[in-house]
Formats: sequence, structure tokens, C-alpha cells
Amino acid sequence: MSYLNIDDILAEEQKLSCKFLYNAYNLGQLEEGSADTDIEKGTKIDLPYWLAYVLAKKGLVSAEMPTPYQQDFKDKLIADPNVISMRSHQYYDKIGTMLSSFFSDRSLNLLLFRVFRDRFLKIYNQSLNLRETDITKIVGNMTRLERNIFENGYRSSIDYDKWRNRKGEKIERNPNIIFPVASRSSSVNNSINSNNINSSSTQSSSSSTQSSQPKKDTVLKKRKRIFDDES
Amino acid sequence: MFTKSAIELVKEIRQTDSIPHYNDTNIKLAINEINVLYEELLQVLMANGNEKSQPYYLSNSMTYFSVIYRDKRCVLAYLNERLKRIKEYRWSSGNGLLPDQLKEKLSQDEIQFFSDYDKNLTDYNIKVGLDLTVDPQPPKDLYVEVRVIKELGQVVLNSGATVTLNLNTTHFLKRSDVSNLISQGSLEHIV
Repeated sequence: MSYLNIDDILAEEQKLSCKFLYNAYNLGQLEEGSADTDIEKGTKIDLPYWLAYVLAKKGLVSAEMPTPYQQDFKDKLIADPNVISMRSHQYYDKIGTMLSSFFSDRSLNLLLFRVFRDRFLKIYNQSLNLRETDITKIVGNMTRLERNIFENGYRSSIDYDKWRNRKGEKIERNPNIIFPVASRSSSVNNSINSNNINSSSTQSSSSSTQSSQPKKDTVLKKRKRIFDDES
Repeated sequence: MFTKSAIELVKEIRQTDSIPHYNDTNIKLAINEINVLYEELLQVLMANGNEKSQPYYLSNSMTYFSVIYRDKRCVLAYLNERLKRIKEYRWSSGNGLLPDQLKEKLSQDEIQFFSDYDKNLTDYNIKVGLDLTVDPQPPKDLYVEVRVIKELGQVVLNSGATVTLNLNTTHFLKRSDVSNLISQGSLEHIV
């Protein structure tokens, strides 16, 4: 768990169905579509994990396991972990481990481990062998954790191929650089500026010689004319 | 609903790997929510001196406190992730220039951060005597063959040499001179 981790924050948004054990002052806005200012004892509301955790620790609400961690969904997972789409449960494993310690449910931890182990083998294989196929659909069915593993494997298999074909040395275009190409002259100037400071000094000297070039020419022509006239 | 604007910020930055537009409105909404809830929380605690640990008031103050804390965490995580990406941009682009397309996505403070960060890194590079953003892997050859894919005209290189880079011509040049131009997409490395 890290305070600034984006995935941790999003994982904790998982909704839990909570029952209020006492009347609660001025919390009516937690309940959607209710006009009351207070919450009455016994009201059931879906609260995000981070809030349910705090309130349940103080014994103010009683929380229930969310649906994807109840027996129905678990049975499906046990039957064949590989065919279940995690599209709507992006943080199934992450929030699952939090929930298993929250509800002190050790069996959930074991189940998550088994499911992850079974799915991992397939994901690992796919990441190394699925080249030049459309992977968006496959990736969409994974949880965040699995997707990270897949992307790492996928990238390393591309790097390996590059190395084997002796392309590793090649300097690639960096897609991160958004380069302003408004006009030709400005792009040249920018690229020179970006190179370093030395070049700008040499550039100014070269441009001064360039500008002096036509002047010289006209001077030479004038002299020539004078010579011609004299002759 | 509590923390709506704050969590939107986090979702927004998760959706993309690049730097999204600085979401000023949502940050202000989140800060506003913090301030409003803080006032209310203070009022409840002051008004109910003896009863504040009763479940009726406790659930209220606990909720408000968690929401304030959560809002703060979301906004900080959002800003932190953006700074991380801005730093990454400085390293991968290899120069201290902010293109206009990127500049308009950053807040004033972030632009300031970028230029300060750039200054620090440049100072360090000068002191060490080595540009750390160039060649993270040791090169095999000092010279590379390149093809021009964007018309550049006459260009003065780092080493002081002048070359005319016309479209579709190939050149054999010093690697350190052209690696920047290749990563910008003006030249193509031929292997």
C-alpha cells in the first residue's frame, strides 16, 4: 500500500454494502435519492472500501462482502479461472487481499492465489508468443496486475527479437517528443538550440559569413565594371 | 456524492500514459469540498462537547474526516503522478524545451517546476562533464548512417560541422551529433 499510488487509490473505490447500526447525524447525502438529512438505523448503503473500513472498525456499520467475492462468482472462478473476464473487476486481486484481511477470511486469500497462479501461466505464454495479433481484447479481460505482467513480457519479447536481428543498436524515434513543425526555418532553429550552446555560437558566425557573401559578390562585380570601363 | 471530483482526477490520469490537461476545475472543487466539510466537522465537534463520541455524531465526524483525508490523497496523487511524467519527459526528450502542445497542458507551477528541474539537471551535467540523457546504452560505433525524412536544409551540428540535410539523402555522421535529430523524427537511422 502506498499513499500516492494511483492503482491503490482506485482499488479502494470498491463498493461494499453497509448497514448502519445507529442513527447517523447529517449523512443523508451518502444515500442517493434521499431527502432526509439524517441516516436512520438499519439503512443499507453502498460505501467505498476506504470509508466502510473506517466506520466498521469503530463498530458503526456492518459491512458485507461485495458480490464478486461471494460464493456464486467464486464457484465460476474455481471452475475455470482462465475464461472469466476481469473487465469490470480491474483490481480483483488487489482489493481482494485487502478484503480478506478486513473480513479475516483466509480462504479468500488462498482462492486468489490459486486463480492468479492458473491465469498467470496463460498470460505469461501469451505475452511471449502473441506477436502481430490484436491484443486489445485479451488485455481488456485482465486485471491491472496481470496487464502489467503481460506488457512487460510483451515488451521483452520484442526487445529479444530486435537483439537477435541485430537491430538493438538502432536509434529509434522517440514518440514522447512532440516536436513543433510549424515552419521549416523554425524547426531547424529549434533543433539547433536543442543540440547545445556551442552550435548556436558557430551558427551565428556561419550566418554572418553567409550574409557577407552576397555583399562581396556585388563589390567584385563593381570592381570588374570599373576595370571594364577603364579598359 | 463525496470525493466525486477528486476521484475523477485519479481516473483521468490512469486512462492515459501521457500528460493530460491540467484539470484546474476539479482540483478547485476538491479543495472547496475539503474546506466546506472542515467547517461542518468543526461545528459538530464544538457544538456537541459531551456527545461527540456518541455513535450518532461519531459516524458523522468519522465520515467527514475520512472524506477530507481521501480528497487530499487523491489530489496529491494526481499532482505527484503529473510531476513524475514531466520529469520523464525531460529525460526522454533530452532537452529543456517545452513544446507548445505540452505547455498548454501544464499549470503555471508545473512550467516553473519543469524549468527548475531542467536547470538542475543541466547544471549537474555540466559539473559531471557528461550529458546523462544521451546514450543510456554504450554505442557500438561512433558514426552512424542516417536518412533524412524531414527536410531540414543547412544545419550546424554539435561538433561545429555544417551539413545540408535535404529530403531523402543519406549521410554518414557522428552519432552524438545526430542522435537528437533521430529521436525528434527528422532523421532515420539505417542499420
